[in-house]
Amino acid sequence: MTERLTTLLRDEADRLVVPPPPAEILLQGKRRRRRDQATLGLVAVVVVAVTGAGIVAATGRGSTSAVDPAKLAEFEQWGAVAVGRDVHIGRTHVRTQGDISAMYYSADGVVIRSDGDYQLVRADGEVSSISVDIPDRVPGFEPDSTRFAYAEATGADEWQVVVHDTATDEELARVDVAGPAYGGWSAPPVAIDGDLVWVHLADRWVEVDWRTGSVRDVPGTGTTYEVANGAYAVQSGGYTERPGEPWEVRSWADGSLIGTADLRPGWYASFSPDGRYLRAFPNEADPRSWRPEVFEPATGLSRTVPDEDFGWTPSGDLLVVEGDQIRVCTAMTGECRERSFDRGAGDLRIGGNPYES
Amino acid sequence: MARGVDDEEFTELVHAVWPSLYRTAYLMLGEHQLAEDLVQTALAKTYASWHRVREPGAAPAYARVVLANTAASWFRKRSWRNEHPADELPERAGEHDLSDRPAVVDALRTLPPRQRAVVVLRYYDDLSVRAVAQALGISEGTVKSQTSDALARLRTLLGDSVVPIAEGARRD
Repeated sequence: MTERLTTLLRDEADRLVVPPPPAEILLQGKRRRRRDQATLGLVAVVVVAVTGAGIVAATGRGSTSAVDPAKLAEFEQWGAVAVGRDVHIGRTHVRTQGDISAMYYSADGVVIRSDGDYQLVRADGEVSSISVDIPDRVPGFEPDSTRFAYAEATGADEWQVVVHDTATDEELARVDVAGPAYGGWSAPPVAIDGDLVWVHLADRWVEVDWRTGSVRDVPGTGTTYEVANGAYAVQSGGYTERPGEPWEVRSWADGSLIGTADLRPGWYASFSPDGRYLRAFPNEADPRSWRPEVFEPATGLSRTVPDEDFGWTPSGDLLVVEGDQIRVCTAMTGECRERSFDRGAGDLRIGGNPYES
Repeated sequence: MARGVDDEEFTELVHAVWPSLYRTAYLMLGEHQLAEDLVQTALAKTYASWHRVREPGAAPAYARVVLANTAASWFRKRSWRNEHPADELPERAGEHDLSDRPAVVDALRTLPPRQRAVVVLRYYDDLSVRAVAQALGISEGTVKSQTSDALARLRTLLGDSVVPIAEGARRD
């Protein structure tokens, strides 16, 4: 009989020190459910804080304290806006040391770049340094993880993909990648989603599994424009050859078609942080008066947005700043809620938008 | 009508199943961080697919199925280092002292991922052949053959007293 094997397995299992469950499971489940849904109607972002019941909110190995779930919920609902050196994250106001040039969503809050330095601003207002030296490249972040990735030169047309954890400020992995870089950058831009990092080389994207070290060329990505968690956007025939043709949004996993976005000729688009929507705007000055359009490729829906400029909350709602008002609207139905904030002086940075220069 | 998810109810589920799912995941994967990631992913998926849970009492079992499915998909996508059995099995072991035998987790690590999952689900989680087949998305026949192969290898590492000869085929 195999009772002895069962006994040995259970003895081993009983000896394990089981860590507490992370608090972000609930938020991750909500985000996954929203990604899975492709329906019309109001997306009710009702975020219930995980309180009591003894769940210890862990922000990662080595974290000294957990982010208050109520603050995470506010961050999920209101996103983040930066003005000068002030960050308004959820309903929390944080003054940092220097003007903010870029801001990226991460699971615990936002990562800001200021004078070339990177810092994590948590949803509860705690600020910590991130020990990376990457002032001149485009890192990849994902809103439902504390990890981010970037590329580093190691030789002529040789790079290392680096994965770093903002919660513990620890480097997690390095993987070698070879190939000519996309012009103008000291290292290729990258995107990350879970275990996978995509590197933008001059003539293709390569996919890196940072846990196993495997690297593969992703076919059909020579003319990829934008990338997001799990998906990328291409255009049949290439932008310059067939301007005005619909953009195709395809899955990184197998290249299957997720949906299309019928952009106006001469317009460009970028993904929302959760990869669900595309925001379209003119690539060059359009003599006509225009308003941005938002596409949901999975459903084929689109909507003209009345606001000239907007960003995104981590959960895919539009984030608009008008004077001292912050307005959050559902992407497809346009239903909004708003609040006032103490807007100071300085350049505006709206969460979910790229500000690479 | 699809059953909605109550956040408090789900939070209670997380509390209740996390330790046991973590142990199963650790036995399957052999690494603590991977185990934590696997359980976290499985529970997030459980939340997202809550409408498939027939009633609250079935939620823990459903979460375990999601865990096994997620592990199976990971195994299909990844190239695991050091996760292939030796081309030739070691010389058959005689009766060893317990203290001379490798830990059972070390022995599990020598198995291919799917065999390891089958062993853990059958002999740790005590699932039936049918339940394991459904959890891993394979046939019952495959579960049986994978069990037999896995036990043969474990026998060489852990000895006859742990895995008696011909016992693997009898357990259904």
